[in-house]
Amino acid sequence: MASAEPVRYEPPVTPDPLVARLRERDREAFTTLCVQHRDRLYGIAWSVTRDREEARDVLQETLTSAWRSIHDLRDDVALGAWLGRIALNHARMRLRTRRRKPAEPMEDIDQWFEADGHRRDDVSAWPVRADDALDRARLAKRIEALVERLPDDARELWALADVQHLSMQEISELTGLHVANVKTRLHRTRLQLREWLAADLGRSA
Amino acid sequence: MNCRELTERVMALRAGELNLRARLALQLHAAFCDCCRNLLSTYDTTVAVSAELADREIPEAVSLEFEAMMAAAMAAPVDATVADADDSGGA
Repeated sequence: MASAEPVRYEPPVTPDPLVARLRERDREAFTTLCVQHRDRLYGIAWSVTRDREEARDVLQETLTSAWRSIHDLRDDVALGAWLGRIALNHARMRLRTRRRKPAEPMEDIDQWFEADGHRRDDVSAWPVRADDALDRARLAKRIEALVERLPDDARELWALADVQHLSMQEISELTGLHVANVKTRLHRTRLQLREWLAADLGRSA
Repeated sequence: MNCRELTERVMALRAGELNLRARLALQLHAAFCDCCRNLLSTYDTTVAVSAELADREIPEAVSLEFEAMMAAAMAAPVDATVADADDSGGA
C-alpha cells in the first residue's frame, strides 16, 4: 500500500508482559527494564548533552521519572521508546538551562543556488585526507565546535542520528516527528554543518 | 538534473532510497560537475567524522554506579509531582 507520508510508529500488537509487572511497581521488573536499556539511555543522554557528568545525571533523572510514572503505563506501550523519550526530555531540559549563546540561524538553501539550480559558488575539495586519522581527529574537533552553533532541535537530530546512530524510525519515536520530517531536517543540518566546516577550513563552499 | 536537485537528494542517495533511474541521473550529473563531486565527498566526510564523536561505551564509573542509581530511583517518593519529562507511556 503506497503512501506519500510514512506512517507513524505503531506500538507493538502484543503487550509486553513486563508492563503489567511494572504497573504493580515490581522492583525486579523495573531492574530488568533498566538494565536492558541502560546503554541506550546513556547514549541518548550523552549524545544530546555531550557532557559525561550531565549524561550521568540525566540517566538518574530518567530512572527516577520512570519509576514515578510506571503506574500510568498503557498496555500497548513500547517500553524502550517510552524510556527513551523520558531520557531525551531530561537531556533537553539540561541543554536549555545551560545554553551558552544563541544558536545561529540555518542558512536558506536558496542562497547557495542560482535560479537555474546551479551552484552559485564553487564547492572545493577539502585539504584533508578522509583516511588520515590525524586529519579526521582535527575535523572531529571542528565539528564538535560547530554543532554548538546549531539550533537545539537540529543539534539533537544530528546527535541522535549521526553520533548515536539511531535509526530514523527510532528518532521518530523519540521526538514525535514523522520519519520524513526527521530525514528532511537531518539532511538540512548535515548540509549546514558541511557548509560551516568548509568555511572553517578556509575554503569557499 | 542540476546541483540543487543533487544537493537535495544526497541523503536519499546515500540511504539507498533512490531508484535506478534517479541514481543514474545523479551520478551522471556528478560525473560532469566538480562542485557536486566535491559536495558528495565532503558531505560523506562530515557524516563519517560525526560518527567518531560517539562515546563508544558507557563510562565504567556510571556502569559501576548503575545499581545504586536504580535503587535511588525506586527509593524516590512516588507521590511527588511527576517531572515534565514524564509521559504516560503512549507510543
